[in-house]
Amino acid sequence: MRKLAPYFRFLVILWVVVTVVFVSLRLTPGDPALLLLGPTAGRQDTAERLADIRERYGLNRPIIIQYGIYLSDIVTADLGKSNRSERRVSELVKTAAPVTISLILLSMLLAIPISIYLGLTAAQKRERPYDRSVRTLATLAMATPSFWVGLLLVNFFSIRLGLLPPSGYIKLFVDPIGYFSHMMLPVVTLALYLIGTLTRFVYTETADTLEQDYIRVSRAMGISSKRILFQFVARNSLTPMIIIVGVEVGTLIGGAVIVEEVFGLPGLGRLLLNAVLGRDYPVVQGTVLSITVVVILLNILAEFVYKLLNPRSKI
Amino acid sequence: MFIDKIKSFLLTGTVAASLTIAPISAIADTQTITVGLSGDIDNFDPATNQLISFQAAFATTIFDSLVGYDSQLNIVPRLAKSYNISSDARIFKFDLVDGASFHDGSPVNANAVISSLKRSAELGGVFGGPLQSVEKFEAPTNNTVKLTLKSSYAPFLTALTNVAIIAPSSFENAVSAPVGSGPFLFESWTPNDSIILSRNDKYWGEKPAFSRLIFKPIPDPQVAMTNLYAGAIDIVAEPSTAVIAQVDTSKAQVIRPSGSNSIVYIEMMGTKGTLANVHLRRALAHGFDRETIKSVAYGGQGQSEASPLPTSSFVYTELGGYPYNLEKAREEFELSGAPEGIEIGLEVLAGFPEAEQMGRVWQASLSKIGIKLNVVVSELSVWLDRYVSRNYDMTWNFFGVSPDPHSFFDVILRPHLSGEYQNQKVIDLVKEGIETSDNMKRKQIYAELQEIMVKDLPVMAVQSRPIASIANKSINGLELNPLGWPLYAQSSKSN
Amino acid sequence: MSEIILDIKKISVIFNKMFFGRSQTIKAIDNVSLQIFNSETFGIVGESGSGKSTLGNAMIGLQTLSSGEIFYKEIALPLSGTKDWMRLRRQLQIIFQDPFTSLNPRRTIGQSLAEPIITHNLCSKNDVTSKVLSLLDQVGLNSNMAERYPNAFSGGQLQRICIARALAVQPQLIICDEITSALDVSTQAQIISLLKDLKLNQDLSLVFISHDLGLVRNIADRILVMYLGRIVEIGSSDIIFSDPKHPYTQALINAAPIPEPSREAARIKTPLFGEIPDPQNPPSGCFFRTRCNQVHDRCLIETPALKQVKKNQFVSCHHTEVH
Ligand SMILES: Nc1ncnc2c1ncn2[C@@H]1O[C@H](COP(=O)(O)OP(=O)(O)OP(=O)(O)O)[C@@H](O)[C@H]1O
Ligand SMILES: [Mg+2]
Repeated sequence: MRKLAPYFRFLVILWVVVTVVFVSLRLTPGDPALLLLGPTAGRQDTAERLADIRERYGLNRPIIIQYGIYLSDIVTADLGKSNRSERRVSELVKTAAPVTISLILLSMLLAIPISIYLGLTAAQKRERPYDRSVRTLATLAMATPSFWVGLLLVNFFSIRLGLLPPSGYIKLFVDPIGYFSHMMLPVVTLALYLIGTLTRFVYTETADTLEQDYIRVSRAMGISSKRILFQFVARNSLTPMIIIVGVEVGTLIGGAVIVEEVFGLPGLGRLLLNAVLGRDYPVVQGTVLSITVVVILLNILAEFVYKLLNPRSKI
Repeated sequence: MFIDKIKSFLLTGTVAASLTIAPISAIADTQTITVGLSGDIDNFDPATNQLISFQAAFATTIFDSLVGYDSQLNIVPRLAKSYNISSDARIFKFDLVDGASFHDGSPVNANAVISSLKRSAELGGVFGGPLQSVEKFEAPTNNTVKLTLKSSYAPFLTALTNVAIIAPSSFENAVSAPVGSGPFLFESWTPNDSIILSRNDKYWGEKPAFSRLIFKPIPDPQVAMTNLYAGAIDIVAEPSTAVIAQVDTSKAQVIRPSGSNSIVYIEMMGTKGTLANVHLRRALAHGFDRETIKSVAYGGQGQSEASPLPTSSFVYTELGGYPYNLEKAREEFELSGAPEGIEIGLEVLAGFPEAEQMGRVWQASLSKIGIKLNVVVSELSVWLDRYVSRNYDMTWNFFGVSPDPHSFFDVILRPHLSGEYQNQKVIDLVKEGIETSDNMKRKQIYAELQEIMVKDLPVMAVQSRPIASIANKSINGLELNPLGWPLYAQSSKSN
Repeated sequence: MSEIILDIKKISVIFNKMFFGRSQTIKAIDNVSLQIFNSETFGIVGESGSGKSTLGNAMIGLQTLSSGEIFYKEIALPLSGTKDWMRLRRQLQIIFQDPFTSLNPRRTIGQSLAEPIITHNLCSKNDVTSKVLSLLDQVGLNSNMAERYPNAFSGGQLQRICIARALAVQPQLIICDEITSALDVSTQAQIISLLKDLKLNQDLSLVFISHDLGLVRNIADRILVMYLGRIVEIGSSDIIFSDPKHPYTQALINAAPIPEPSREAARIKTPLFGEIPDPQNPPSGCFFRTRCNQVHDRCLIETPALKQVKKNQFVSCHHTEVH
């Protein structure tokens, strides 16, 4: 029973998310059928077409029935079809997910080592100019809107230098060089935000750890400060970072919406945004569900890795 | 919302920075023209997708219609190489061009055209609706289509410009895989990424000078302009009024049509009934400072007239209207009996900052005569909900009026005629207008209608909307028609 | 008297702290001089904030001095990070109050104990394990404990491990900074007797910092009493406990309960009144004058110098001179 508890928790979270999305979509003003017809939907002769559309997408059924159908579809792993393009939601998610996932993973790959280095060294040189500038820059990186950062990068690297494409996406397997040149600016934009958050986190953790008695004892024992910083302190203050990175995935998906918008990447963020604007219920529901599953899985993974690296929490 | 907020500051910040930067060379490939659209397209069925941006992008590329427009909105033959209209505007005969075929290889013959027209009639809506008045679809020969209407319908030919002919094999999958007979064929759509068309090498007419036409959805106008300056796209198809005003003409060209048939309206009669009294509507009109609004919101562009029809219309009548005059506005306000300090909501669609600016100017004027105007900006789905149910005090809107004046009365006025604006005279005149084929007589009918519109103000015309496309200097020969459709097929790209 | 191993000459430590943009100055050690001898146990007592820990850290070079010098066997203590630093690391060790934070939670006991051995190349690689086990044995712990992480141990066991780690390098001097105050009474006693045993078997000096006068009396040969960073009284343990000269020392001793019930009953309880002054704004003259029951005018103006009153007793009090 205790072993099953985490899975149960997982299911409950999923159910809550699914239900909240379902309910809030229906509470938001805006009729998907009207949107499908456009501004001329008010003409009398289109009333019939509105009814057709509602019938076709099951929008005329009572909400509770729609909810039931929706839940049973999920249980049978059927995310349904887009109300607008009639494509399968699973297809849409499958094409969009690699874009967002690689955007987020590459940003992490870039941001994590940089944040660790900056956070560790700044904490060691506490209250010196280096430390102050690192912390100021980290706060700045966190507070600067990604939208703005993105446009600045495009202006500089694409327009002024003509080095990198300003937008678009090419699949990795189609053209690896094209892929990386297109991903470069988006990844840097998202990573910048992440560097801000993570550097600050590593900094406080490290400053904390450096105050610990066992670090002072190690110093008293003559262990070199480099070894202390990059072995003991790093290991101890970085393990909690795994959890933070797991938590940040949620925020990063939010950041990805903006970055994808600026750089024209066909990822989950844009899929979701457009589906919300178009009141494409099945796509919104399917995308949120997929994102939730991924975020939960990543958090479980983070927790697992954390436990692996942190024997203290074994008991 | 977040994006919106920082957008205005970006307009001044980033653009100012980018203006000082020299553009890099555009995409070297002169065979591909890439166009930035303001939104993604997810339904490619021309019979059901009624979005302006869909029509503007695909009506002249993927699809052909029996008749179409030239860059001046004159009706010109397309799939019908010639046509013949009976004097009572009831029988329409079309001779099809020779050798036309759909992208799937099947021939564009009378039967195919008729089944496509019938499908549109069945699906109805703004485009297919007029076809519902067809009594008989006939194919006297393999290359002739004869349509007999139930009664005279003068705007029928104009209506046909909006009816794309698609291959019978594609009826089922038109939403995702449209098959037309136009100069470009649909290759692929990657949601939120690109729509790729390639040249139809078997096109019956003049073949385009370039082989690929790519559309990229770029909702943010700032991002679109950055992409244009960087050479990642060649054309920004639907720039907002604010963006047009900011184009650096040393780097890009602004392509404008000969005139604009896109007219901005204030629809004043919602189901709420707030403005049921005509004096109150007139008070609002007198408090509407056209000059200031034109210069503040529309950068001095466009024509601000009282008539709801574009000045280019053959029935356009110049009318005095309601000059900006707060004294008169106050008089009308008193006549209306509406309480001092009355609150009136104006619904505006997000993404059109000029509409909000217009609202602000109006608000300032009206506050001086004791009317409190609330400008309500909503995203499309919310706005549309209120628009269609007419659940508003008044709403902003715009519409591309086709060369036939009936389109305004059919699309914009009709819902009001069957709702809060009860006027049998207007109903009769509208009916007469479509049943009369003599243009001289129609002029008189529509002159009277325009006068009544201005007098009664169910809908107040604001002005014509400045429309344009922005293109890199390497794009040649691109024209826009007064509806704002870029005529891509005739353009080309140089190094 | 045996050899001097640590000679502290007029050291001061001043902390500058930024507090809401204003710089605050605390003189944690104020012109302190003293010697530590070979094989002795030297106790430091004083109220919280009197600078005991700062002094302890300074003694092994972990605290940057604002002025003055410290010599280890006639060599000036080098600064942390310099070349000579490593050489002295083997000689001077420290054990902290909280055993739970003194061991790296992500390393096993064995790893933590091996660290100093490996760092200082104390034996060949193959012998590290047996060395670790013998250390554990020395502090009375089981050899199977080497594999475990600190979270598996009680505070007393952990403190034994910390002692073992300090012993690993066979140092000359170990600073014990309140090493028993986090432990319960019976464990305290065990640790004290362990320290005593270890000292008997080795050529080792201990600096034993504590609040607890009873403990210090039990273990220390000499005692230093501190007040606001200054020496109040210093001398052999027996003399100071039997005949304290400084009013502060007297108050401290009187305030401390005596474990023997009969003597505890007879104890004159003259409680220490008032609060310790703000270390940022210490009083003029004698720092203790605000709480002293024998204040003279002189105490307000003049800082008393440290004066020898007996063979093994030094006091800084104007009052003692008046006698
Ligand atoms: N790193 C530091 N920065 C600023 N002030 C400090 C620092 N360390 C100690 N102090 C101050 O120096 C004074 C002496 O502190 P210290 O820790 O040496 O006292 P202590 O006698 O060990 O006290 P306790 O019995 O509480 O451990 C105190 O006022 C303390 O606030
Ligand atoms: Mg202390």
